Amino acid sequence: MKYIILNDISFIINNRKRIVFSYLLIATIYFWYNVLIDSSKDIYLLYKTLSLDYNYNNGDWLETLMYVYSITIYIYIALSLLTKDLKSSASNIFLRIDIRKWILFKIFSIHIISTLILICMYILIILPNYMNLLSFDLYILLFKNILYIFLIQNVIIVLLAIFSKFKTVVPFTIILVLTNIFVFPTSVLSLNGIAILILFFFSIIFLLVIYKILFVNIFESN
Amino acid sequence: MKIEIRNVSKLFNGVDIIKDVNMNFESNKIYGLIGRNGSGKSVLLKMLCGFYDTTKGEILFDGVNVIKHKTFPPNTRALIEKPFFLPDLTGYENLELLASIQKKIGRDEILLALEKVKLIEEKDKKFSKYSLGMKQKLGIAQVLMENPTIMIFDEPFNGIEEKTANELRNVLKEEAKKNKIIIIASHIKDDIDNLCDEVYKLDNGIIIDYYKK
Repeated sequence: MKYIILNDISFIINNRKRIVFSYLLIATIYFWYNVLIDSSKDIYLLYKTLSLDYNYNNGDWLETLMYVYSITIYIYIALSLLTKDLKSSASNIFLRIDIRKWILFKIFSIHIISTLILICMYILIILPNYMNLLSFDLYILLFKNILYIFLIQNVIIVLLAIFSKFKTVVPFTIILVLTNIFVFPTSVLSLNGIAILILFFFSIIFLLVIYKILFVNIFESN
Repeated sequence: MKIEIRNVSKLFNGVDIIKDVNMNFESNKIYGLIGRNGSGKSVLLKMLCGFYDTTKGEILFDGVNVIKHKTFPPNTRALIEKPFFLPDLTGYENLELLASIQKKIGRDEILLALEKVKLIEEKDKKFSKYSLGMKQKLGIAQVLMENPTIMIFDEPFNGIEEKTANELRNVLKEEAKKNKIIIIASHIKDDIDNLCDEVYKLDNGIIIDYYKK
């Protein structure tokens, strides 16, 4: 586990830090843009910035863009971390570790890194502006958001295993983002937390069941 | 230990990369796969490691088709393509991190592997500061350090100066005597001729020659 997590963190720092910093910067700018437009710091602006209540029927184009951008970042990070082991360190890892363990550790690593990015986002936006509104309900909402991201990432990995004809991560990311917008529920606010939790665990179990297909399909397409 | 490649073919996007190949590997020998770039050597090695499925045929490890069971061959280590390590860790730390996956070895074995590849003096240098030859040596060290039964190398002496390459060839000859199978792919005939007991020559995915030394 230590190898996979350190390997992944090193990859993010050395190869993806610009993407992460850009995301945090853009989200912060978007937040302050909304504050300027709204002349307030209503809690709804927080939801808008973090895309917690997005609906493509009601959202404005900027909110849609921000939602798409956020989901893209988390999907791209998940796919990059997943495929990099297959591309560059296969003989280091896979001759030493059982595939199921690798999948489990990899998913855990992807989720830890995504959580760290989300926490940075929360620190940048919530701490300076919403300290007085911190409540149990808000913590639950933020936790639901984290779980929602995890669930999206797990579903994406399953889809990658089944439809892994793509040689590069980018076109696949675009298709998956579009699928996410039009197929999955997009408002974390209205989602049932227990349901997300159950689906999350189910997605992990499913990934462990299809691990053989996952590995062969993804490996050969890379 | 015995590895049998029986009537193996591999198709990628409708193109035959490996066509009906038969090979046998036994312990205490070093085998060479020689062929120009694109002859199918790397694909064959990846199939041996279990990274690619066969389109046809089977690969047996002591009679067991590990590929069919979607597991990896037992007690096997490989250096295929460029060696990959974490740039901010030292050579030693990288090997220590890899060794932590199976926890089969400790500091002594790691240092021994670094000694064998003549990298002991540079063990505390960050991997990002290594030359191409040093990176390649570290890749070889990660193969040697856990004392595997099967060792697979793809162009292992790339970027390594001749004197060190000769020393490494001697290391591999000694390793093979310890009941191991060593398979080396190279497009350089000298690498194979100076080292291997049996040689398969590939071109366009088929074996065009086979000889014993």
